[in-house]
Amino acid sequence: MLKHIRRELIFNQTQLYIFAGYILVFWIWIVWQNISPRISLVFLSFVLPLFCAASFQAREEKFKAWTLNCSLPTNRNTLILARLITSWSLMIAALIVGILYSALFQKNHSILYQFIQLKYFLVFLLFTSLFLVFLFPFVIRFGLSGVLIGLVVLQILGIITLVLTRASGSKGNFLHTMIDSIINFMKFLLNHPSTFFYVTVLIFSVAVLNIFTLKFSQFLFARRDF
Amino acid sequence: MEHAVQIENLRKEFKGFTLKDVSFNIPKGYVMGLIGPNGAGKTTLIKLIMNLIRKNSGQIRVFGKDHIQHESEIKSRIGFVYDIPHFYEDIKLKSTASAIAPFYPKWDQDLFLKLMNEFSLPLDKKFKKLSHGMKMKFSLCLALSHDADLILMDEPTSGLDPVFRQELLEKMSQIMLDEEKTMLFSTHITSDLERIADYITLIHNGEIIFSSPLDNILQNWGIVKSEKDLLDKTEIPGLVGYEKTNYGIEILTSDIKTAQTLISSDSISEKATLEDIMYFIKKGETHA
Repeated sequence: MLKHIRRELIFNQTQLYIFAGYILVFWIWIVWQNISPRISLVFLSFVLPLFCAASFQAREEKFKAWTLNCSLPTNRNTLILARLITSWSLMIAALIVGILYSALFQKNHSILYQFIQLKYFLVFLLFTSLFLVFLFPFVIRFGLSGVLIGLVVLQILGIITLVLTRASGSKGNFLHTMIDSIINFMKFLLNHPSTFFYVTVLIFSVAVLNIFTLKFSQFLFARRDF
Repeated sequence: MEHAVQIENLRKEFKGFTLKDVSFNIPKGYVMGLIGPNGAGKTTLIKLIMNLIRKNSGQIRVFGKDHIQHESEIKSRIGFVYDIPHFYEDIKLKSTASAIAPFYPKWDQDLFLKLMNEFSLPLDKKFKKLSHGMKMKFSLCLALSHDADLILMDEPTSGLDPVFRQELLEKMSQIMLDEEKTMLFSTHITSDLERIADYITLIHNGEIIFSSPLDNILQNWGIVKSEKDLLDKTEIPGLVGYEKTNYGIEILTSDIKTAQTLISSDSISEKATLEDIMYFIKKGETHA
């Protein structure tokens, strides 16, 4: 597996430099503005998968390098597993950079204190896994153009939601209720006491989501012709 | 005879094109030339062997093993050169090689560096900065640096200048001095194959027209030229195709010796080249 991760890192080194620069600026900004660790957690959960998982696949598509990768002495399932592990390694590394930066440069060390708590760390993993479970297979199936179209569709849906919410008032509007439910779910996860059961459920959910992401992505990748 | 590649009833369906139940073998230690016009199915066949595309039915065995069940093991013994080399364009050549090398147990770094030097390829250059010819050379360097037992090359000489084409063919000849190595060389530049191929497989419209030793083809196939329309009066043995011209008729036969004994004395016959054979078959005026 190490040779696969090494291959991913070498082939995506340009992206890694951009990623490293972005993460550094991101943490400096978070600490400088003293932005709530909760907001940074949610934000990171969406940005990191886009930067790691999606961009690696986008580069493979851009250069049509799947011909090369799939011709190497390996099988497609291992390629996808390697990509998922590499993505997670980078996302965790980005978090560790934030924790270290907070420890060294943040006066109240709020990011450090928050993320080294098991519950918050697991919630970060859960949010990231939730986003990844949609994004990772989506990019494999629809490619970079699919992601761009998807983002435009999301934008349009957002505008429609806003318009509908204003037109019909906030109470009883389905979309508004749905958004509220998501926010409440996030608050519930972050505010729930760290009981053994709760932590176990979080770990189990993260594991299930990632296994599903892996298996579904492998299924989609195996069906592709290059 | 031991076979490096065995293909049986291989079928792949695309919209508008079908590779139709193709069967042929590549004997171990020989060069098989895969010829056919553009769009005949040569690339599809090579991609199927490499499992880059999924077959609809049939079987592919490489080194006697199923190509999907033993995918990693088989691919570690294959060197591949595709018609368009697709590498990460913004990565330096040495980095690309360094990422690929650990996948091959028999990777020879000294040989790789020697080949890079022979082909005048700069290690520190990014792939996107290379010309098409240099890209092909780099692809070839990688394919030859891990002592591959089977070398698959899809149109490796297309777009190359004559000097490098000559160098490439010489390099291929040197490699094939090792009788353990096998090569599948797809091209539509048939003159390249006449120099190095031992066997020729002709594919047209997704069907194998023939798969035979090159010597047999060059000895037995020929063109009969006549001012008269021979088809009206004589049954031409081994008739494959014909073309009516302003001056009469030209007939391609796979049995030129017998044909010569039957045709009229005012006809002339000559040996067919691979290009002639491809031309007549592509013309499509084949005899039923």
